[in-house]
Amino acid sequence: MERFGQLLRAILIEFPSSAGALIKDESVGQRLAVEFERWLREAASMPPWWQNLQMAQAFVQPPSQSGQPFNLGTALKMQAAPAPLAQNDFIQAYQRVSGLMARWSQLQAQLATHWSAIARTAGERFIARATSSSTALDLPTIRKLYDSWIECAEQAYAATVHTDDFCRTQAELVNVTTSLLLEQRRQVESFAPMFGVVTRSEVDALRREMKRMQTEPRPASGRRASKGSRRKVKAR
Amino acid sequence: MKLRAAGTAAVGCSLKSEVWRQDKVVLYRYLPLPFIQAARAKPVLICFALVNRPYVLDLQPDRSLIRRLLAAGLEVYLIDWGRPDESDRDVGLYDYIERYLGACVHQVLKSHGSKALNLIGVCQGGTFSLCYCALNPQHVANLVTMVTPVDFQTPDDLLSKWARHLDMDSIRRAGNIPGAMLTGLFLSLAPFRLMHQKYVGLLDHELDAAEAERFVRMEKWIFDSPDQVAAATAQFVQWFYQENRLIHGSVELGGRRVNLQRIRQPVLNIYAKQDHIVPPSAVTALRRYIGSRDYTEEAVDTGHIGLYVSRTAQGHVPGLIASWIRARA
Repeated sequence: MERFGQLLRAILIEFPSSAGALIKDESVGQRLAVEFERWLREAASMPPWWQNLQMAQAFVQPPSQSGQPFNLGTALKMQAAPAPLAQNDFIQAYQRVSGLMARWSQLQAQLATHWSAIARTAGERFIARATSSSTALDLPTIRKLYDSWIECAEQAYAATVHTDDFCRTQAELVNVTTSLLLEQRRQVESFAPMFGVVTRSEVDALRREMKRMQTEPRPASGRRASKGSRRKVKAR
Repeated sequence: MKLRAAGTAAVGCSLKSEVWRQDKVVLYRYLPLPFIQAARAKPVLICFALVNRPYVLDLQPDRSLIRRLLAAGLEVYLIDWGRPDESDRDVGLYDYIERYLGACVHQVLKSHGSKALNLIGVCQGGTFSLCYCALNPQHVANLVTMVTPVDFQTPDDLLSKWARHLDMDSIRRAGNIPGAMLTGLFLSLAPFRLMHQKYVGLLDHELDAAEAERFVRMEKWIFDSPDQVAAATAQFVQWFYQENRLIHGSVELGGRRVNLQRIRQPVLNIYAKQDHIVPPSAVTALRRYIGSRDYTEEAVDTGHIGLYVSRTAQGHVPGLIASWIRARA
């Protein structure tokens, strides 16, 4: 709201008139829409879980590229040149990730058109609804305008995010992001053994085996055998 | 300043003791309130959703569904699903509904020497309760569902529309879903009200210390979503949101089909008129699919979370549940 109030005040200085007349002005509506679109983009920015997906690209730079910042590909190249097959794997992985990143950018651009539409519609609704006749932008007036602004924003948002086009774009963005995450994991899985590090799939296999052993009933003879072996250990 | 001072406000107010535990799941029994005469009713087991922590049902003394049920003389048990980690990523809906919920039911029945109990399912926990009840009707005397989705594809269900085209197999393979992501998802259903206006609203009136504490408690709860188990989440989204299996009778758990027609016990279905997460149309569909003849529907003029904690709901919902259960003891 502070930002909203600052914006209104700035506009009031720019176009000195009464607040009621001010918000009927189309240029004010456009300014509000631009500001609103910025809020939307901020709200739609990637959550932390997805941010580290950008690392996926760094992981799979092909080893032939030089002058790149540190990544596992270069590290391996320095340690020992990977076999030609491994190099092919790198290139294929790089191509896969590049394709996914390109699609990811396209989808972000598609979503951006939705954000613009929401901002524009919200601005239009806000101007159409504005009825204030107050001569000054005092706090209660700003608060009323702010509430009206939020209501317009929610209505414009709801009208867009229910559409099939938005739902498909957003879902595909999640799917592509997940594919990038899985690609990143696949790369880590292939590098980890070279450094003697346990992989996720090895840990998962171990966990499944432990779970199976916990849930499977032990045979009675096995218990007796273990008692016997315990005695033997004691005797020694 | 007052909000900062309220930052240490504790959540959960009623005394409880752990009575059973398996993996991450814990069953709690709430201790009866002093000087309250026990009601002649079977014990109550509350099954909450996986997506949030259950302490919202016992947030503080004047905002506690559990405390009000205790005050009505009922024996109250609550399932806490815990905080899953990557070692739980393969836990599926069969485990949650038949193994964990089933074990909790048996534990309560054993403690009370009873053959059936009162089951209260909340939100996703209500969907689990419906599945459990359809598969094991002999153990449930009365069923209460609160803001429980039944038809997952009603036209006003935004979550459903967003989930429809997700590749759940890939998402499952990517591992558990971070709780923060889920919080973000729920907030993005109405982002300007929930991420901007709510905080501006704090300036409207002078906050006293108690109100500041209540606000902080709610904020703690909202941002305290546990990570979601990969397998169970993938199944839930695919079976319920994408394929709407519950109303088509095609949910299968442990080789048994969930048929809502098998629910013949009394059912009280409570929903919120302004629910933006589970729209009323998704909840009221229940009446068309269950076999019960004793079906009561109650609409409360509040939102999804308001049904647990709002003043309107607190003054009405716990009393309604308690009297409805006592009338069917």
